[in-house]
Amino acid sequence: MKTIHQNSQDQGIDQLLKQTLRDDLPPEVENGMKRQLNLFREKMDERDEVRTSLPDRLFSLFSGFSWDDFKPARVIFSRGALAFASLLMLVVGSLMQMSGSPSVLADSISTRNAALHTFNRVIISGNSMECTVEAPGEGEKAITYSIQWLEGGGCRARAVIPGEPVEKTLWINKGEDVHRIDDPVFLPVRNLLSLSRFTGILGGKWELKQYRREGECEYGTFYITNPDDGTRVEMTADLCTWLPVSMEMSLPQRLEVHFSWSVSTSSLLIASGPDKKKLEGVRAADRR
Amino acid sequence: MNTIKIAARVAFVVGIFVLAAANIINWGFEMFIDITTLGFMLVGAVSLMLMSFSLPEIGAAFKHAFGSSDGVDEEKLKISAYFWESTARNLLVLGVLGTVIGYILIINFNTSIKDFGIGAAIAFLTTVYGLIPASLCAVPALVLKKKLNGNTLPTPPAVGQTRPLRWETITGYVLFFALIAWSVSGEFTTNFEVFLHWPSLLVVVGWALALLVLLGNAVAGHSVTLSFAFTGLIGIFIGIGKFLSAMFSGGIQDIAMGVTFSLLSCFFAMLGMLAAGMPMEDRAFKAGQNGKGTVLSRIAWYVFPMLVIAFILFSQLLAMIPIHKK
Repeated sequence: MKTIHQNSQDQGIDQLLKQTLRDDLPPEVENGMKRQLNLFREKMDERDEVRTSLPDRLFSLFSGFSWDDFKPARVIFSRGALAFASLLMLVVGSLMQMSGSPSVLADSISTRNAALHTFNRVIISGNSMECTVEAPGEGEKAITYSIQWLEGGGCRARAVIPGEPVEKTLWINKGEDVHRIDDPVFLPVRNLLSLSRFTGILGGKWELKQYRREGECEYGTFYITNPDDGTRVEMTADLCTWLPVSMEMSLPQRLEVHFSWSVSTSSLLIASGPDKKKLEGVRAADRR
Repeated sequence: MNTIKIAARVAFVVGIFVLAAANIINWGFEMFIDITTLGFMLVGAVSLMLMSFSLPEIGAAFKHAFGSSDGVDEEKLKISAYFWESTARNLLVLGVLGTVIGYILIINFNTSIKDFGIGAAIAFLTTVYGLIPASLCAVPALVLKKKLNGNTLPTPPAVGQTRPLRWETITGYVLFFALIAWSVSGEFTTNFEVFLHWPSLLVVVGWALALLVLLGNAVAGHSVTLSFAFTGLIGIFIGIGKFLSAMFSGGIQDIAMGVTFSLLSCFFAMLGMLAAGMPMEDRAFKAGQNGKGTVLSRIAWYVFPMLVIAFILFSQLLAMIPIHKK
């Protein structure tokens, strides 16, 4: 700041200017002007109060509003708060994932995978299947079937009918159309007489009923619905070998099926860990 | 020279039609046309445009692309060039997001094995519907950028000049979220719980927030996009790790949990990129702040969606290989 030094001549000029340009308003005029000024200030204050009414406050949200004016936002969006929130989310999310929280999508994926694996596995193992079928009847009239798929695509089916001394046997050659079978004894099990008919059942819509674990292996029970006629079967599969273990059918007749797969060593894709010893044992038995 | 340019453009357009016609003749028309998917892409593209650009800017971009851009104000040309680049980026990411949504819906819907294959193919069609127009949008972007001779960054606005909230932005956001909600609810399932997987949502948002806090303003508007892209990538690899470890020692449900975590991480990451990251980048560009972090951001735009597609294919292939435990 520059200091101005006044000499006697400057002081004289200053006095002259004050006298020449002094306020020469009469006191009543000056008071009137002051009253007008105060009235104006009061009106300005009133206008500010009107501006903060609810509609104007809402309007001000969309015109020139800045988040910086909103003090709680400074706290919520501060770096410390965001860092804490992110850490909390990470910890909670990781704990939920590790604890295996249930998920609709995960169930659907596992069901879809089970369907694909089982379908493929049955096709690979098609010539090694034997199954027993019980068709419960009234009293002791249950018929028991034994079905064996043969090497080369054929099938042998035997039916033990209560009250009949001899069991009935049906031979199906490779390529023979099972639709043409009209023997009423074997009609209920027609869907099990060929690989293609059986895989037709497996190609339906799969729905998970339950999983259960027995020892080292898992078993899954699924509902399979035929999209064409809506018939539904309940099938349990071994999720270690991906082969069906048992099946219950309701239409056209109630049937209980128990599968047995004599899996040859050549059809196994991967064996891991302790199961390698079992595999060696099976290979040795095959050679004998 | 003009004749050559015109001939090249005509050849380009004819080439696309010939390629499309060859595929349609070979595979059938119905294989490539899905009205629902087309509608998803159209509404999604429009909503993403409105989120970042005003109607006059969009109109100007079309005019500069299809009409003459000689003598036009350079600032408007910069916005138009960026509009086409951002539209190409949005279409690509939107297509992949649509694929993820469709893939999740078709897994969850109770279909036969044969119908699942058809549904998965339609889901991947959404990516094709994104890739083709994205590559077409890249053409005017590159042509307009060439006219700018490398000076593509707009002049920052005057200090104190604020951009008011536009009705186009609000409309774009409402349309976008309505589209996602409609897609997620789907024709076959009405429950949102398929997509509301809390572990993936919390991990994606948590990681993205943590990266945002670390990056701060270092890369201007790109930090949100980069955060979500990196987080989605982390989610993919966490899921793959769980998937692979469960193949030999875990059960089928552990495998499914790994795939679920990865798929939904991809979904939330891409949703965050489209809804938050990319509009913020666009606003930062129009404010002249887009110099820093552009290369990393472009990698996130283009590489991350492709990695998502690769992951879906990889998980599908692995799912078809059964591991026998006895």
